[in-house]
Amino acid sequence: MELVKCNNLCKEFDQKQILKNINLSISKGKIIGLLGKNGTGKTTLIKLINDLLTPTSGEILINGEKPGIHSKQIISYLPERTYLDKDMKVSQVLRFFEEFYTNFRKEKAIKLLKDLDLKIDAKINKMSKGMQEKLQLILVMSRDAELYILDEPLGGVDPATRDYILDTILSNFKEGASVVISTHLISDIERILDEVIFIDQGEIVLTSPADELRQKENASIDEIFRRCFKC
Amino acid sequence: MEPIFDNERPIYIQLVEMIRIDIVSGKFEKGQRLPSVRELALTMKVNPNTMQKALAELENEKLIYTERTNGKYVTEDEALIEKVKKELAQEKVNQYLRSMKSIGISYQTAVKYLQELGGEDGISKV
Amino acid sequence: MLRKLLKYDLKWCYKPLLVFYILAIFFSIITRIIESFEQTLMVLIIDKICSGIVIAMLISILINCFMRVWVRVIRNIYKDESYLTHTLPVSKNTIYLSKILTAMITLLTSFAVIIGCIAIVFLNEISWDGLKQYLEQSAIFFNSSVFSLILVLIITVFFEFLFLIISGIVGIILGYRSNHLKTVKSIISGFGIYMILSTFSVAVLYLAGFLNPDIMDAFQNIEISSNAMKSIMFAGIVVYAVYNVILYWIGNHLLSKGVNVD
Repeated sequence: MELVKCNNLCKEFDQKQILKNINLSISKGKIIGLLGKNGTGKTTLIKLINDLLTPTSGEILINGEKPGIHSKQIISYLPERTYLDKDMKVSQVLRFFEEFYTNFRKEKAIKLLKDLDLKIDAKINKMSKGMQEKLQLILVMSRDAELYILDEPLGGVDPATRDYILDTILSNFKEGASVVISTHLISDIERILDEVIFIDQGEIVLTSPADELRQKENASIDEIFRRCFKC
Repeated sequence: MEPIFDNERPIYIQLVEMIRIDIVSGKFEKGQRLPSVRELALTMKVNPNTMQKALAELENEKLIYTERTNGKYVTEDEALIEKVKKELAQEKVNQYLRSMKSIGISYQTAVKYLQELGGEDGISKV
Repeated sequence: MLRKLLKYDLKWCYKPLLVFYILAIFFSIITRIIESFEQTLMVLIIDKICSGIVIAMLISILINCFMRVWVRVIRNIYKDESYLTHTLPVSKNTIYLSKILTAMITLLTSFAVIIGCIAIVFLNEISWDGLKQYLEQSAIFFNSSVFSLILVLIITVFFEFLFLIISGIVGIILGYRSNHLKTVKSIISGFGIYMILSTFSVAVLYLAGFLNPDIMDAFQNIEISSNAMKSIMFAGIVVYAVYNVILYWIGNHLLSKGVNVD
């Protein structure tokens, strides 16, 4: 059974169609790139899967069930924005995650924080935005989830941080789990992708195993993407 | 060292090539037990699935084999390693000759250059 | 899970409230002490300042009690933090229930502190006797015991305030279903619900008058009889309790249909 399945999924805002008839399935044990330009519906799709938005029509099934308590136990989601209570300390946030997620590995998070030289008694609002984002990545990757959904994890960071983020993702996701990474920065990430999904103007334009696509087109995913969506 | 990939070709094929070179060059010795797929993937900074695919390809070529529970090993078959090494050498020589030809140098001159300019350790004397 | 959510909701709401509680109690005690001094001009001025602060603190407690819950609902269910709230393995109904319980608990403790502060400032033998006398009179007037009279009064006021808070919460839920002008629409719907239902309760009371001549009496005469007063108070409790339950259910139903966060 597929991990995630979308059937004829539509989302409208003010009669404007943001997602048009999305049919999609995500299987287990794959790293998938959700690739599209800014404002094409990537985040909307991700928010729908995470129950932050309600579909206008169609359905989403996660392990055969609609988004709910079960799906939230198995999905570890990194949103684009900082979602932590700024008045909390890092240690309090760790407690919070430990209390709510049974699959959160606090020891792992502490180790990753140590590697970053992040003090555990630091207050969130005293940390830079970049640090907050790294903290969130660590929190998300410290869960033994079945599906990791990372929304633009590489947006607006320097190349060194990019490497750090990719490394953290690769070395920490639970074996056999799937990872969905949405991004418009394809060349940085394409070497780790099993499958790619191109999304444009609210529609899925192409889904394919990454290596198959490279072989067929004799070009990098980045190149193929550019050809596909000439501005 | 993190390998550099060419995004235009399938990553698994590039991994096959890299590991094949590691085997013929002796970096992975014959009969040696290979690190786990996940470990290998981590050192190469690639997706474990891609590494799995690359190893499967190498297994097809008989350069590595799986021992049921103990993991993957480099082949003991020295003749096979030699054969693969020769194939790789052939390819490199062809590349050299082709590029010499492209700048208008004849086969004889190219061979002469090799003898004159090439050093013992594979580095040009000039 | 409800217990864990409640813990964090309460912690967040009590953070400023506790400061106001402590300040209010502290200045109440100061006021009380100063009033026992000889009444020189200086003491009188300080007394006025202190009692002024106490009043300001009590008002702050009430306002904060409402605002904190509303702001918590907005931030936790619709703003940045909602990305965490809605991805916790908890149902939306539990998240909502936690907010309502938070409102009830903070309201109760705020009531206790406000009554306590007033008692600290004003309660002495003379005022206690006066109060007792008044209450006993009213109790006879209401044909009930002093204790039940106080209880009925507190419950009525508590339900009325809770009704105000839940109206606000449901207003927020309604306002944030829209894609534009969410804050404005929240305020309008919250205020609207409160005003409409408050007006409606007068109508209900009038209808109740057909069944209960005492209540009808209140509508027909300028002077309200003791019996009418009593009936109205009980009717008030029933009406506000029903409102609270209905509003709770509406909010719960709307939320369980899903959200659309920014």
